[in-house]
Amino acid sequence: MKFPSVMKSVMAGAMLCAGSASAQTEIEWLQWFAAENVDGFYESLVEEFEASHPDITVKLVTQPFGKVRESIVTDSAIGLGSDVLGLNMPWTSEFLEIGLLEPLDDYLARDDNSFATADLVQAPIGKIDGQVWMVPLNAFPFVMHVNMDLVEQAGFTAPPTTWEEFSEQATAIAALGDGISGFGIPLSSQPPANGPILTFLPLLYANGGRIMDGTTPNFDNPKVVETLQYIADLNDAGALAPGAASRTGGVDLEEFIAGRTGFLISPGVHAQAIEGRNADLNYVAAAVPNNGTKAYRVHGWELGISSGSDKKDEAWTFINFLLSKDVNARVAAASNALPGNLSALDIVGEGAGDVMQSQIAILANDEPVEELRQAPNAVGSWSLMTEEMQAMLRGDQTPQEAATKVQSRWLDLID
Amino acid sequence: MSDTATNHASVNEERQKFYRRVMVYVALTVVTLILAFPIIWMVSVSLKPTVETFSLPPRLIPETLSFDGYVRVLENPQFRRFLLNSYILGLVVTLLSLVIGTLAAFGFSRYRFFGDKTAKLFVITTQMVPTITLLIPFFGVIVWLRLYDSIWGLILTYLTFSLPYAVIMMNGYLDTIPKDFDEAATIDGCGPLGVLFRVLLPVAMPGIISTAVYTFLLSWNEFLFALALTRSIEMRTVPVGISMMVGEFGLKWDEMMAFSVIGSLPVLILFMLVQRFVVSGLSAGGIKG
Amino acid sequence: MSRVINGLKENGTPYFFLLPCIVILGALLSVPLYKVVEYSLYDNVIVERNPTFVGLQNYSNLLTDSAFWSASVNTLIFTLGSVIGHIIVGTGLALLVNAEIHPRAQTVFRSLLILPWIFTAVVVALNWQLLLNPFGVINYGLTEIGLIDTPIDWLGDPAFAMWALLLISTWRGYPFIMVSFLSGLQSIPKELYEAAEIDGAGFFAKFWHVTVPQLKPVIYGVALLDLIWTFQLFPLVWLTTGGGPGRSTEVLSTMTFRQGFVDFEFSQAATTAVSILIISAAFTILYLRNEKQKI
Repeated sequence: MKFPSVMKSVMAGAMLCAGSASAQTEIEWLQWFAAENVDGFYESLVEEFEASHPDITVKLVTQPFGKVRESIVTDSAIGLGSDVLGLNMPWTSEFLEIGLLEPLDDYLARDDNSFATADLVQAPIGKIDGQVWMVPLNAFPFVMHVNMDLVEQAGFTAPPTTWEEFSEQATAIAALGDGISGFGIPLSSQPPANGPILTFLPLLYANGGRIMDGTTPNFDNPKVVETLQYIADLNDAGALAPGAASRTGGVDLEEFIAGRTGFLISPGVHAQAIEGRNADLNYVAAAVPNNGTKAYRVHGWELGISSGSDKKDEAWTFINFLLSKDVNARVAAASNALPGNLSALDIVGEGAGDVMQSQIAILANDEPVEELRQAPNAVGSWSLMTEEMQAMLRGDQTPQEAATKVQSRWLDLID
Repeated sequence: MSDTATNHASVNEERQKFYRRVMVYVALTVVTLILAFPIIWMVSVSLKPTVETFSLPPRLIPETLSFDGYVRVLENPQFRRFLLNSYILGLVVTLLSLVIGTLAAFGFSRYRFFGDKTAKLFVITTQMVPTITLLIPFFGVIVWLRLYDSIWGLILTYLTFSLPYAVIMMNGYLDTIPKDFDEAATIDGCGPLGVLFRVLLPVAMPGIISTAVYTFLLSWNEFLFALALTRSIEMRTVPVGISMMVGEFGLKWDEMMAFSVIGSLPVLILFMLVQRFVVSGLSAGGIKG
Repeated sequence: MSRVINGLKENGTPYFFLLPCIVILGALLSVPLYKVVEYSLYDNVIVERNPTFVGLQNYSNLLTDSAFWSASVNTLIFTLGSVIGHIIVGTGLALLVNAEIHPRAQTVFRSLLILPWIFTAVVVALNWQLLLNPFGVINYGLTEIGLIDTPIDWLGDPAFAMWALLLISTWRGYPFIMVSFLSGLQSIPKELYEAAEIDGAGFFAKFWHVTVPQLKPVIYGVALLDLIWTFQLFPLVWLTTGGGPGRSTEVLSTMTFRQGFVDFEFSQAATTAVSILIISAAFTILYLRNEKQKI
């Protein structure tokens, strides 16, 4: 096969281009974070780093979120992979299979790190194949955003805490009419088609369920079926917003902001958009209603080092900077997220609003769950969940059938 | 007697013509309103706070007019850079495609030669593979040519999409011009290039314009390669900038629509200007014909 | 020696005209095109460090995959529907806008009518999602005038999604046909219409006996290009429906993307891409043969 030789010559060419600079080393940071915070926060962060590390310059390579995963693979195939990578936990298993990531154990074991490994959010640093592959820049617990006006109009005084209360309130809110729904499930196939991991997984975890058995998909288990049944029942009761099969995550969020849905299950970071766009909304954040298990899905922005990088030390120096208590606190605050370095929690919590406080409370009391990091073909798998859940809500199949189909199609995808 | 009869006839004809014209105006207005409605809606979204975009019932005229989206886009120097890049890219690609494509089209249209069908098939074949599968190997070629993250890399890339189009379309337009034109000019002492530039191109002006519009819009709208083949924020184009507004945690609706509207306005004006040129090209061709 | 140069001058002229075009396309695309074919013969590439040659295995996998056949049917419906839509709307508008009205008005209408073309696909897709939403303005309008009782989830209902997509694709693509035909119409000598009028031809007779034959070379080119492009049109479909709901709007190009960049099966994606190439090439050869007869 001639491909590797093409890659080699391409890599040689790329190195020639890069090697012309002076003693300064330039590292690249591929991420989508600077596209989410357009106010120049990350640009000034990089300047601050460069001021204290005159021998390193950092180039921000900013991509739209929807393209980062593809870009990491494409760039590395050409031999142009960036040094520091912004990562999303569901991509892990795929990237490991391709060999894109550098193990971080040796770096984490260094004495001169600016943080203690024990302080980091634990989910991303759990070992896979015996090693650590990423560190958390920040963390987003999934919460339920609640429109209190609608809850009160429907005759309730507090947000629901159990499944039973949740379906009761969602159904009552939908009965208010005027295009108002209790709850929305974004099940559009339009990319990223990730509705199931946004709404279904948080409900499943609060039901004590899982979709993985170690690194093997285990989707057709009773807890999954029970959770799917719960969603189907909400749909039959008319509590769900119509048009789930074309509903995108974006529309789901905006309809909540516009006061048209009672509840929104999504990461706590959405508080920023909600409060920013509709200051009049009488709104609180609460834990996702549970069916016996107080657990929440945790998500976040992670950082890794590209295995093809020849500036790994400089890359780690930069990551080290980002994880230091003070910097990390500011990173978290800029996105309205929890810090990846939890020793910065008190700085973030100080003077923070109600939504942040309730996230901190969830963090303190409930069990975090993250399964997609070790799920094979995670991105393909949630498209399958989307499709089978669409068919279930259309009434074309039962929850049990949907679960069975996802499981068998997922296994087909892996082989 | 016969005079009044023709008068009658011409008055009738005039009246008929007038009614027909009114009908054309009415039809055009109705059709244009329907077809432009999605664009009007887009403008409406750009002018209202996002929360109103999703309120019920849907309203075309914003309740609170908000220029926030426009202000944020115009205040951001990055977006101005994206616009500039896209315009330069579009104009250069258009110019090069027209020159190179017209030459090739002239060859195909006016000559029969060994391998002509094969050459044409090759030109068209390059457009038959889904560009997404070409992306990675093509990326390799561009890096190998040291054109990565540069405007020339994108110009060459877009030429590979627009040239086949320019060739096929210009070939079609040149074919509509009778060969007698060439012969007359050749007798007058014109070489092949003289025939092309002095005789054929003025007549084919409308075709050139439509080819130009196409090639411009192709590079104006292209996203996949613009993203993969550039890296610095200074090299990004409008479609990449727009897609960055589709974030992990939601979408900047008003900004996105505002940016699209701002970016497209000059394109629309350019098109209007070029349209008048089509009419003048027509009359020039008319005289020659 | 001079004879050789003269000979080249005589017979080489067309080659000079073609040279820049062929060089650019050949230099940039021949390697990638070859690579795609080569990829399709391995078990997997890009993500695989040591690919194994598997011959035509991927092709037999593809041909026995029912998803491929249903995507092919969808592609056929989508391509034919879109191209027919483009041609009908585009030709109708070209004729209408070419009618004898004030030149300024003509310019304004022409410019407004190409608007669907000047926005990037992601904006077009998102805007149509808003319009076609169950609570969107289209459902609102249809309910108000009593055409439907309850809102329809146009993009989420398998019974409607393809129709909605065809509507969007027609809207997005007609300006290309309109602009191309409009230019073609300019070059038709007025004398031909006058002669036809003297023969007593009406509007349709003139259209059929003067306009169509005169436009034939343009129609051929435009229809061919439109077919080839629509056949592999990707961004609009992917961004509007993502092939869904289910796989009811999955076309070959979205399937290629799914295999390549969602599932990282690059060889399988290359195989699907080559199958698109083969179908398009077969069609083009037929077309070129037809063109030869015309000349």
